[in-house]
Amino acid sequence: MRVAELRLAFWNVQNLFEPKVVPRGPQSEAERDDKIGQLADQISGFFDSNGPDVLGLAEVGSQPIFESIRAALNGTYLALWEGPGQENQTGIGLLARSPTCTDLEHLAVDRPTITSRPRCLLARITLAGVDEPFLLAVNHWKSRLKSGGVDDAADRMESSRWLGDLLAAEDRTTAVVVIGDFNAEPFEAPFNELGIRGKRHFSSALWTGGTPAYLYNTAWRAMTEPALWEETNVPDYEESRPKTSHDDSPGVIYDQLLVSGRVLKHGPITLHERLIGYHHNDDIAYRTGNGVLRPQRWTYANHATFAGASDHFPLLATFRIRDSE
Amino acid sequence: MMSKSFADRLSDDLKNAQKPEFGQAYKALREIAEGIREALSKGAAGQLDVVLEPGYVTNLGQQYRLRLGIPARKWEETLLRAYIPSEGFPIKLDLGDEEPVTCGDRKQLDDAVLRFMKKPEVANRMSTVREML
Repeated sequence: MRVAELRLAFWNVQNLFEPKVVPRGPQSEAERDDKIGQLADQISGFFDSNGPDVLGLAEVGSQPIFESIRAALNGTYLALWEGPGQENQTGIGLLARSPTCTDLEHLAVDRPTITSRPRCLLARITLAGVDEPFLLAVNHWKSRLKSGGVDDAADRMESSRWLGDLLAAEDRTTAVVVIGDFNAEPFEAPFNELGIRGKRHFSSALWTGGTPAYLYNTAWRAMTEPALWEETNVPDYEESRPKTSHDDSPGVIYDQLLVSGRVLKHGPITLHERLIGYHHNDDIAYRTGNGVLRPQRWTYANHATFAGASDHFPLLATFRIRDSE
Repeated sequence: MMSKSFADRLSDDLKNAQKPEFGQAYKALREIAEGIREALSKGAAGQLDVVLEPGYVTNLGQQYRLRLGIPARKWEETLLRAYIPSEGFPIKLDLGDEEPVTCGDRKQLDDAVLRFMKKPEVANRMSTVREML
């Protein structure tokens, strides 16, 4: 079966641990299962209820939880799981729906030490009827928690160099999609010339002297206000799209999608930029008094009383599949 | 009088620039690495390398990656990361948690690494490493 579009999503699902592993995670089996149910319902609703063809998940505490989400989604998914180094850490999961995706191959993982949580999972995805595969890097870089004096910025820089070095060694015609929660904004050091080169302009990714480490960062468009000042300065203004991907004030864009030149032109998939965005609805988002959209964190009282899903918005993107137009 | 060559001047400068405290802390870390190599290699026929690779200079100090390697299998991995400030101790260990473990002296360093190594997930892995030798 051939489809014209590939629907890709990424979501940091916020501390989805097994019960009582950490205070910030679920405290009972019922809470864990209700959160899994909430997430699965939301994910199934992505893309006008078609669900994602490819889904990257971060902050998942165990493989059984990852498998529960996989089982609750519509369709059959190939899966890759990079687990946490220890119980109080989280892993990265990647799902690719069959038969749209015919192969999901594990290429590499960035894990700073044997007990660290993975920072990046690099995979190769082959689509039905398309002879050229593409690479997908799902990232969850070091958080910005400052409690213990951890040099988190240096850790993120290491993650960026790891991925940048890998992509720079690839042939320039390799199609690459890089997605994830980078815990860094598009203008920060990990996106400079020493790591993955997250550029503001198409031309940088299309540069003939470049490598797939030169990426067009679609997140730059989310960095600005969604409306002009005079349009916002009215009673009951509500912004049309989020300008933060995380429940922070002021807003921050940590969840991003970057593509290599091959995904802009002539690749097995090509970017459909109008359809990139942070998915939101009343169940997983709230508005501040100024009409600003923020992700609604997961809160739980009991089976009948819970709200939100994550402190991150899911990031959704659609690509055109070659030869299917 | 002949002026010193660039190499000699650099050699002197490097020697003078390093505080003895840094050298002591680095030596302690090297001894830990050697202790890990000795313990894991005991009774094994194959070669296990345990080396300290310098990583980035960070606000916690110079990073070292303590790496295990089995040349015959072309296999290697990072066991832990350590940070030594210019002033030597305290060394900070990144053992995979959100926060580093601060080791104020050699005994604390030994104890922290021993606690880490006997965690079931680490001990199990070390058992596999021994099997691979």
